[in-house]
Amino acid sequence: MYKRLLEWLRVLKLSTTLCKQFGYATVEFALTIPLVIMMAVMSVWMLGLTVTDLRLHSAAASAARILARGQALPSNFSQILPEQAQYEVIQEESIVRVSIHMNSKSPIPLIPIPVTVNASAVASREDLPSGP
Amino acid sequence: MTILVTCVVLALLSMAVVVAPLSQIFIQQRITESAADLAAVAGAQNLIDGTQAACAHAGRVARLNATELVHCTSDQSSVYVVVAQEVRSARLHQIIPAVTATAKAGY
Repeated sequence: MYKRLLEWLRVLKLSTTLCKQFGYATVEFALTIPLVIMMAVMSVWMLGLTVTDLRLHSAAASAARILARGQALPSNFSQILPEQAQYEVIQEESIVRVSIHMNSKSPIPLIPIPVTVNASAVASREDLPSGP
Repeated sequence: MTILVTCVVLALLSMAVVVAPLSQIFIQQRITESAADLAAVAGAQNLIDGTQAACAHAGRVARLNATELVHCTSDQSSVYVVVAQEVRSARLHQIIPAVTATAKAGY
C-alpha cells in the first residue's frame, strides 16, 4: 500500500514538472515570436526603402536628362514613382534640377519611425547654344 | 526554444548590421554613376570650346550632383570623366574611402 502511494506521488510529480515546462515554453513562445516577426517586418521594410531610394535616384536622373534635352516629361511620370513621392523641377539658366522626395512610416504602428527618402539630379541644359 | 529564438534574433541583427552599410554603398555607387553620366554629357556639350572648358563644365555638374570630378580627359569627339563620392558611413570610410564611377560621352 505504502509503495503504491509512493508510486502515485512520483507520477504526480513528474506530470506537474512536465506541465510547468509546457507553461514556460508557451510564455517564451508568446514573448519571443512577436519580437522575431517584428524584426523580420522591419528588415523587409528597410530593404524596400533601399529599393525605393534607388528607384527615386534613377527616376530623378532620367527626368533631368529628358528635361535637359528640351523635351517634356512623359505624362505618366508621376505614375512611375511610388504613391507618396512628390517631385519638383527647377529650371535655371543653364541647368535643370529634379528633386524627388517621399515620406514613409514604419509598417509597425507601435514603432512609428518617420523616414524621408530624397533624390535629386542636376543636368546641364542641352537646348542652349553653350553649357553652364 | 529560447536558444532557437536567440539564434534567429542574432542572425537578423547581424544581417542588418552587415546589409545596411552595404546597401548604402550600393546606393552611393548608383548615384555616382548617374552623376558621372550627367557630368560626361555636360562636358561633351561644351567640347567645342576645348578640353579645359569641357572639363570645367563636367566638374560643375559633378559638384551639383554631390560628387567630385577626379579625372577628366577628352579627344576630338568625346569626354571621359571619373567622379567620386566619399562614403558617408564612418566605419566603412576607413575601408572604402570613396566610390568612383566613370563615364564617356561624345558626338
